Amino acid sequence: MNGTDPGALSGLRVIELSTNLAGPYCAQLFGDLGADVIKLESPAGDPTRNFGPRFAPGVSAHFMGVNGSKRAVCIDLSQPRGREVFLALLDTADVLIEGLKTGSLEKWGIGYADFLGDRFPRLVHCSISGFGATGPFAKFPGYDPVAQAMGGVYAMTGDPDGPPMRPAPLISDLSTGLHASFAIMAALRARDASGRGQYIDIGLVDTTLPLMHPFFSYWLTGGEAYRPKRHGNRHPAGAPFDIFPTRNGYVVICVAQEHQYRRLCEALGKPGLASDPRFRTNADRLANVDALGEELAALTRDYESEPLAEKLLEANVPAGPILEVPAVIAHRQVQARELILDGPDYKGVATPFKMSASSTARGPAPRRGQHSREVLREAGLAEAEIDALVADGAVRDDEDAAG
Amino acid sequence: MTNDATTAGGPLAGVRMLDLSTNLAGPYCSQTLGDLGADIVKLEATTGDPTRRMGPPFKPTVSSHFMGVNRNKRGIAIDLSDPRGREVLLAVLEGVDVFLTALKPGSLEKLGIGYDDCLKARFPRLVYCAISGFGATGPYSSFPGYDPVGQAMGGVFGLTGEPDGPPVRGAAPVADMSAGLHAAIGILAALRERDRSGRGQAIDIGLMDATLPYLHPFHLYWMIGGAAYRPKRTGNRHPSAAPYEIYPTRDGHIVFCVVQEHQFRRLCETLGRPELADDPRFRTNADRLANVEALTEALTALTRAQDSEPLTEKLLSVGVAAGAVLEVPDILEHPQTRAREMVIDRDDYKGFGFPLKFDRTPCDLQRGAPAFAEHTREVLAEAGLAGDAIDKLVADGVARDGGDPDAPR
Repeated sequence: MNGTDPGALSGLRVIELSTNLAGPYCAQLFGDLGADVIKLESPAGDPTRNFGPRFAPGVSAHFMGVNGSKRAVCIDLSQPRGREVFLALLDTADVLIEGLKTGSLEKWGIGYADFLGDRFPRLVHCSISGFGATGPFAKFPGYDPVAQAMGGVYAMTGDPDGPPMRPAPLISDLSTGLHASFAIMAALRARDASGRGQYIDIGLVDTTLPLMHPFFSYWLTGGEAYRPKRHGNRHPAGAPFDIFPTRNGYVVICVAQEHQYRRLCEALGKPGLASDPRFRTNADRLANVDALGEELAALTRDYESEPLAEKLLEANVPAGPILEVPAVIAHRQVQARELILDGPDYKGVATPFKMSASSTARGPAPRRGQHSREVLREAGLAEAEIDALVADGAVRDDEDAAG
Repeated sequence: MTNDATTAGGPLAGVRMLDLSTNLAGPYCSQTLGDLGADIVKLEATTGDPTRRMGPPFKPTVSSHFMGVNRNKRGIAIDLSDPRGREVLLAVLEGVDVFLTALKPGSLEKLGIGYDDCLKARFPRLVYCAISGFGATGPYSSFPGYDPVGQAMGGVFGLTGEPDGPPVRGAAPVADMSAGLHAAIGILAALRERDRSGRGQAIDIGLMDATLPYLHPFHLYWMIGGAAYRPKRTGNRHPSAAPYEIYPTRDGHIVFCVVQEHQFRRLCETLGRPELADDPRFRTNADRLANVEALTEALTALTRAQDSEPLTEKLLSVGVAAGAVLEVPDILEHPQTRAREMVIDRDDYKGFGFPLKFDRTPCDLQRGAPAFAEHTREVLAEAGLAGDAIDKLVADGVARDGGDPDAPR
């Protein structure tokens, strides 16, 4: 169901001035949807170019995953001429995605409030930072683990009688990138009506808080009796809801309705467990959750994860194999959905949604400075001017091209 | 900020959506659009969204599970198993830009109102977004969707936990939330494309599909690096940087993540033992990784003597990434949370605030979460149904106009 028309955001131009994860991920989504995305890097380049196994010169695992579908221009913003080039590019842009330390643009006299908003009235400027642009923590830099810790994710992850656990995925950064994409597109829609762009201020911690649903509301409405606590892999209000060992790993089973429990017992070949007085209702099962876990684990141990989960899913019991990364990539559902890109020019996860008419195809991840000349030419600079800027170091060329 | 007055209504004022979804992914998608000013009509079955019954305050129809992701919406209740109910749905669809569902693929087709066989031709400008467990295609497409299942099959579940222990589920429902956010993005993209082409289109996303981006960068370690980089659980520690872990403090826990050399020196200085930075066991990142047990012991002895929040501020002030591990009640009281207005604590609504700050078209809480079928009459009248027609539908149980939802069968 993949569309082939030009991307839905064709015609938009996005300038990305950010590193790491949140801003680049947001910008990549725009690129996948057909916008012309230009990533501006300092002479040192995005530090993630060198993190993790290397795919190509200056393109490693951390960089490639979130920097596809873009062109790259290398500018030294610490030089006034570099900033002039930046402004010349902004003149052609609809969107600026910016993740600099709070106050950086203002230091150069080109902040949104004091300059960009008036000079480029149609510009949508989205600023991404650790804690947002306001409040006592606005001056501090942003990091995913900090946002997860201060956003409540760590406190709620792990066993009830153990310490907090760090989820390995970069949940805050990625959620921020998604929220930013959405916000920018909404601001563009507002601009269609009013003719005016605006400034959007997004903090990593702020976009982590919605992920703590429903714990916020539990505490605000229920108080101390409902103080959110870690519950490991279990669910405080339902059983069985846990992971269970199999011959080759684990499955997760999350029963939420009575008939699902009955079907689970039937599918596991022990229908008597459904009428066992210890486990008859959800309340019974919660009261005897350890015994229930033992009974079910004794059964699940006889199966391999994927066939067991499929058997349960077919019986309408919510269940899934806990897959390691290689098994995810190889899984026939993932393959059928064309979610893995594994070609000579690009490797990664495709944009996960499909549009019936418009394309969402991913393009390659660029080398540092790969498109400096091309983009500056498009912006109307003459070759001699570009040469001078490169000679001065205000703009850098495709230096990694030789490999 | 600029001198322009802010514009009431939010940036999505004028966008109208009919939301036929329950639980988390779909409602979060539509709430995100509603927070930005879109007009969201939530269509429920006569049994109501199951989350109405989940969690305190256990009022008959609005619990914390429901409230947290169903603000800024109106609510109607229609029995779609009745053909007259489907006629009402089609009448309401005439007036909307977006139709959101979170059903098993094939459900609408079974009722004769699938996108390809009915809606696309009848409503060529409609943007239709379908969220499901595994997407509309592939061998798993008929299976229902649940967040823990999406996380398990999407690989993120297996990444967290001690190296010699079982997987641990991260507290954030990333499969649901990612599906909801991606759906919102796809919807806005399709609306923009429609402005150009005059036509709507369909968007298809599965919970498992939406989980895969959260594998970054682990999937690429494997795809580029192969067996030497096979992703494994590493507990609270980071496989390639130290110190990067959760440490106990006097009143809780704190995380630091030192990824640059000078940050380690500043950390040691701030903790009052600058000489640790010159200890040959800890001088470089590679040394620290090799001696991580000793490092953890040395740092834990120091962090146990401090309170989390003051230590966090001291470290952040000197450029060391550190964060107090805050529990929900602490977060609500934190000065930064308050400054960012991230808590809404009103009689009619309690939940998190608006993370997206727009300087000209701000988000607003226009209404709390709807009571069951609170707006059925209003919305059906807007769709052109006459008063007595609505009365008949209500009398026959095809539509509900209030009260409690029916018990689930």
